[in-house]
Amino acid sequence: MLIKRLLLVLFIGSILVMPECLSNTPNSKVALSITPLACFVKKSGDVCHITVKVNWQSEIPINACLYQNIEKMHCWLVTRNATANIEVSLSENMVFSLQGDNDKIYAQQYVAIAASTSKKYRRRLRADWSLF
Amino acid sequence: MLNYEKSLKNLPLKYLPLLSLLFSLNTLAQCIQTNEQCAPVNEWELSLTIGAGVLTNPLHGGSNIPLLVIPNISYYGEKVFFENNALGYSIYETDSFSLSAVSLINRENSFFNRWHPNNVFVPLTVNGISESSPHVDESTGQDTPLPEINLEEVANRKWALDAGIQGNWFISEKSHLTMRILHDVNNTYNGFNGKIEFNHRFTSFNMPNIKWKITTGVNWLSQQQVDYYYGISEKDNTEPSHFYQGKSALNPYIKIRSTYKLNNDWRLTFTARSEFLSRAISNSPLVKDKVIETIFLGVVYAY
Repeated sequence: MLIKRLLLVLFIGSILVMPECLSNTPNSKVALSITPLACFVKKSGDVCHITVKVNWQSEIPINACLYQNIEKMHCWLVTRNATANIEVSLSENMVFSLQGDNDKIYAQQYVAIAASTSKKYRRRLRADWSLF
Repeated sequence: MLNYEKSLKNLPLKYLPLLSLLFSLNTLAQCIQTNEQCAPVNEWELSLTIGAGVLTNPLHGGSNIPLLVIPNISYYGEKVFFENNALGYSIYETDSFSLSAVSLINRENSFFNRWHPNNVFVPLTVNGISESSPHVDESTGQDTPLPEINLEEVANRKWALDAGIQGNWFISEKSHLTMRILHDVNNTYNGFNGKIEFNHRFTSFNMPNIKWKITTGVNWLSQQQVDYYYGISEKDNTEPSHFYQGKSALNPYIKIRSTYKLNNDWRLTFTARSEFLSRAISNSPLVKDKVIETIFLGVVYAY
């Protein structure tokens, strides 16, 4: 009997605690869109300077800030949806996140960086001296 | 009858979609660095092969060509490519098929001329010794020596620069078919030559570090080319009874190559090749062998 009560307490406790544990995961009720999804540079290692269009919607008004990795870019107070053009500089693939109070992550979006002159390969059409 | 004619007329068009489908069926992966069939674009590649080997010379009086140092140089641009003695421009290219305009130095003169560009990497000496082989005269039943003409006795043959079209079909990551038709562009023999070649790469025999490539194909030489190099005529200042007129020739060949990677820079390599000369060539008084053999063992250093 005591064991049953103990298990019941643990079960109820776990239900109450679980949302706190998940608070740092993206929230499906907030939709974040960042375009473009990729930035092209001439060669690998170059820094990409680009203006991204940020758009997000929430079911309820929220306080939210957009982060580029760990750097805060822009904030909105008690807002349900927003659109903004933000200049960013990327030197590698980057994650953008919309975070609320207490670092709660509402949504995330990746922007990739690609080198247009990365090494390309093509099929060899002739291999040897004609003697061989 | 009308339907039959109509179907004949549409025959090439009928096969066009089939051919397109055939080439597109094998969806090969895009080229990557680790694939030996692929070359980096816009980069020069240079390697040097050092070892010991020989390319036999089928001509009377022609010395075998020792193979000691073999440079390999190549460049692949987006469309242009250069590989050893060949220059090309790809007109049409997909992952599995390419069609290119190519130009390369004709091989045949390397047996006649020590300064041929094909021989820049090996010393070639002409010893002027020819061996006679017995020949049974069908009318008398007696052995009579075949007419033999030493290459030093005939007029100098010029080198030829060929140009034409080459198709490469990459059947799979391991198999590749090459088709080529060329014509000389420097007015040397005024004829065509071509080849069809199939090669297949594999690793087996429980030795994954050793890679094998087996190649088989056939060289076709037009009558004009055979006659220019292996024919004997007034220009050669020999007896009219020794005159020989060349005919078109088909020379099948087979080659096997194995490489063993020692480290990132060095590879051990072995090559053996046999080319079986058509009678149109081997019947020439200039020719003593029916087979051209190549054998080589060495190390490759890639820069």
